[in-house]
Amino acid sequence: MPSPLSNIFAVLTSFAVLGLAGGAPASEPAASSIDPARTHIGFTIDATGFPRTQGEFHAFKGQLSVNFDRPSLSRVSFTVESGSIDVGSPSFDGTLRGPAFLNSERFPVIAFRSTSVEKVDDKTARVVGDLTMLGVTLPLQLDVDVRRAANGQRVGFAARARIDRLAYGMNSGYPIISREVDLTVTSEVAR
Amino acid sequence: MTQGAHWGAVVISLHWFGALAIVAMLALGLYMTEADLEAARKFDLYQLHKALGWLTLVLTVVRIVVRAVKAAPESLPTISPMTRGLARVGHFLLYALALIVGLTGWVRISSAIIPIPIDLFGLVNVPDIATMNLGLSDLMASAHRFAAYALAVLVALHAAAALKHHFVGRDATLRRMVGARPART
Repeated sequence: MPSPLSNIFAVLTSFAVLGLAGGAPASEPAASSIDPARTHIGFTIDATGFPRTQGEFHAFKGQLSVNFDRPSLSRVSFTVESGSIDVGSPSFDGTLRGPAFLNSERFPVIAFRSTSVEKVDDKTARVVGDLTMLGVTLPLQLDVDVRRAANGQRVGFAARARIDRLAYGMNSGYPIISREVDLTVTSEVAR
Repeated sequence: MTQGAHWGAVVISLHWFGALAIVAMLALGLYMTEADLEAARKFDLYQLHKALGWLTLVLTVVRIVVRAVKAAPESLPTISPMTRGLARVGHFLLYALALIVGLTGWVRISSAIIPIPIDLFGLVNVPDIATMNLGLSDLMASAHRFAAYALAVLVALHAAAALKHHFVGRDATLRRMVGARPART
């Protein structure tokens, strides 16, 4: 009579075989949720006669699947609650959530989904995907710095992108407030 | 209109509230525009300036109405006709500039291409009195600034004149604006 342990082993083996038979690459890891405690989504925007505004979004979810052997198989997607914007002043936050800017009531979610990941060199990758904001979806390129922790257990990412807010219909304050919004996303995953 | 020897509690209260409000707005306006501040702090100070500035405008209108309907005390007999004339012009300009500073600020905010209303401390937003217009908004911003500088100069002259009356002329001009019942001179 087979032991319970050998039963589990048999089930796992059959899954692995099915996976291979289905053509899925053996090295592709399952997507894991982005750890909010190790992730920061920030932005900066310039204006004439007003200091550079820096802020962040506190509420977001994401999936990250990194394939170090075949980077092009890596995937990333995230959704950000636009209402979670924080620039350090509740009144300023309220203005940015309002209809002139993020219009959070009507468009509560900003979403990004990668369409291609390309390794540039050992420390850099280029991620291209679709960013949906204010109901408009446009391609966005992120330049990603990849840093491996000294112990090799964790890998950190710092992604930068420049968004043209006018392209998404966010025209308020232009040209006093610049059209470009610089986005920085930092995250970390276990290898 | 002149009557009696002193201004009365209402005018005196309005005068000192107005003085405090105008000096505070001039100081805040200068600080928020010139100081090296973080964006969030600057935003909050602008919003505070807009709310308090609008209330100062309302106070100015109330003062002008009260001044128009309430009798002013008789001029002190020791004051020359020329000084009296200068004072009249000075007071007229003080009211006019306070009004102009407030109104240009309101139009500037209303016509700004970044629609951020005057928020009276979360209670109610003050309505706009102009439509969005970059040229008008820029013009009003300059007018607001220069009128504020002129008002600051005039406030300083007004205070200096009051002090001169008190310490040099030793008359009752300042005393009767702090509510002291002056001796008949």
